[in-house]
Amino acid sequence: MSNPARSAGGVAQELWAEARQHSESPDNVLVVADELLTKLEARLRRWIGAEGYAALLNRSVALTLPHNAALASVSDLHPRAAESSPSSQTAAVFSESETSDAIIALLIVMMEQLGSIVGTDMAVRLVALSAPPNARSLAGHESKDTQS
Amino acid sequence: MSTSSMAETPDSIALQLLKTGVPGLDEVLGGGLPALSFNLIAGGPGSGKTTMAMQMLFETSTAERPGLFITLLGETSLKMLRYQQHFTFFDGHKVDEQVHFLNLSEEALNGDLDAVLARIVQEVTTLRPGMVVVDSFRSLVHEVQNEAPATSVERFVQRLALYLTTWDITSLLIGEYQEQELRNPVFTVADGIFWLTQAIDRNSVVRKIQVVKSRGVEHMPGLHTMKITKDGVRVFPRVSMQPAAPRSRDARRLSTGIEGMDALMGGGIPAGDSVVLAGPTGSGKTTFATQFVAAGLRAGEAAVIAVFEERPNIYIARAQSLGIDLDAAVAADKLRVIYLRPLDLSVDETMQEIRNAVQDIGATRVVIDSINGFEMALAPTFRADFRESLYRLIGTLTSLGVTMYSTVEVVEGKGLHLTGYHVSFLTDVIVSQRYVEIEGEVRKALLVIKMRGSNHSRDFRVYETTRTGIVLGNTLSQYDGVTTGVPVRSRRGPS
Repeated sequence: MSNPARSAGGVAQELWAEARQHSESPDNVLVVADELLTKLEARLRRWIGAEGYAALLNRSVALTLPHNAALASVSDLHPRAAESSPSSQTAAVFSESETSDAIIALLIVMMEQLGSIVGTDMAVRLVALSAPPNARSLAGHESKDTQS
Repeated sequence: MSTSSMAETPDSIALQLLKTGVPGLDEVLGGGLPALSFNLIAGGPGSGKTTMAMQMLFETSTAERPGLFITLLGETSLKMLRYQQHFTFFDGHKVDEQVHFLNLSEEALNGDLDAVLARIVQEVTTLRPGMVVVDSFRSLVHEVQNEAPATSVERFVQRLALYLTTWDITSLLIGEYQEQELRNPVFTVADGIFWLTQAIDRNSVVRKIQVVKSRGVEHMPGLHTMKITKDGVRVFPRVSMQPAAPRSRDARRLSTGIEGMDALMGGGIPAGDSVVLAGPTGSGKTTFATQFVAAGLRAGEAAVIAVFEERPNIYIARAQSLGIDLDAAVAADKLRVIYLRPLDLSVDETMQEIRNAVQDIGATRVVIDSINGFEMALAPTFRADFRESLYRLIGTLTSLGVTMYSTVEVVEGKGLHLTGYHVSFLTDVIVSQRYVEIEGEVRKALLVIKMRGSNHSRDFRVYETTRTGIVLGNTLSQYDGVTTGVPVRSRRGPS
């Protein structure tokens, strides 16, 4: 790809910002995280199927969690934890910025994991394209949404 | 999307042909892939099926009509992305925008053909692609055949073909089929069948493609060799045998570039003829050929030299030592020196390379140096048909109007040895060289054995290879038994 490659960190931050901007509950980071991960799953399942996505997510969570305990507060990632501690209680334990940082860290790790298979540029592109259509420039260039 | 059309008759519609983006394939297909056709790419593992389909997908996809690659079973989309992105045709910026990928392996593993079809329908409805690839179709059928009756598979294929065609989609199904499976229903439904094979012969791998059928177009029958390089799949259309019908002869005569040689040949080499220079090792064949090229360059003509035995830089340096500056001609794009020595060439690949070079620079002279090297450069499987291959090579190039000059090394013995390849019937001119012993000294001699339609010399002439090139000497008319290599002075009186 000839256009300048985007860094995984930059794309992760922009994806998170876009997700908050387009969320109906931008102040509830746990809801935003769920919405973002749902979109990401829908996109990546096209490539690796449900089982492949689950494996990618599990591995990425395992690598991220030790340094980002706030990840445990996201119900999509830690269903057992969520069962024992509802989101509202967990959110009280971790600050909004801690949860935001954890999600961004997770996205970076997921891109790194994918990057080991398809290269960093392509992995960043695949994840970046999970953003809403008007944020597709994250993928590295202006794009047209052909999905009518 | 680049397209062309088949001729339209009053009672038929024009058939839109899509450019496939696979070099050589459009020529085999008679112009391109028919739009809206339902095609099968079949072949064994590693035969290039997926790469070929991917090339077509990237070539035909547009923002308005994207391409869709559906993976059922086998290589996952992500793994495919890992490897396919290394081909130059793979434009990463098109991924997920103009070329979409969809993994349906989970639906396929469940063996529910209706669910697979439903997902395809859903996806096609959303994306409105212009081309859809389904990979690997055969594995899907194999997966469900124990659970579903054959009729359900047949029905699935029919429905899929119907859906894709009515949605204005050109489709490619990829499958690992063997020849004995030709009765599979998909072969009946398919409008086009591309059969890819990969044969190993004495450490050499040769890939071939056969267009078994292609409805609506007049495709080239037979097997065509193909290669997979960093640019993807490339097909080398098998050029058919040229009829031996007489060509419209050009009255011009081309200089050999050797003083006195043109006179031996009735004024030079008739333009458009094929010359074979046959001689033993060290007899100066390459020097003769180089001087032929130099004469053309001096006359403002362009030339192509196909080198099989030594690298171009060495070839050019050798010419330089004779005072012939081939480098300057290359720089001026008046000369192409093609190096062909990979040992697994096909004749068609060689012809394609030479033909492209001839057309690129408008060459009128082509040197093949040498025929022996050409044979050795071919994959073993093609050497068995070398005579026919040579026939096609010469026929194809001379039909372009170029004058060919080929060298061939022969082993000396008693008598006249021509080419050793029994190709004299397809060459217009044969010049034979040999060593002769005259008064205790080894000399080189040549004889114009054959020149169609020309009044050429029948005399043996001695010659020397000097620092400035070939210098012709006297005739050996006063000797008998020159063809034995040990002539004796004739006892005949002066004629």
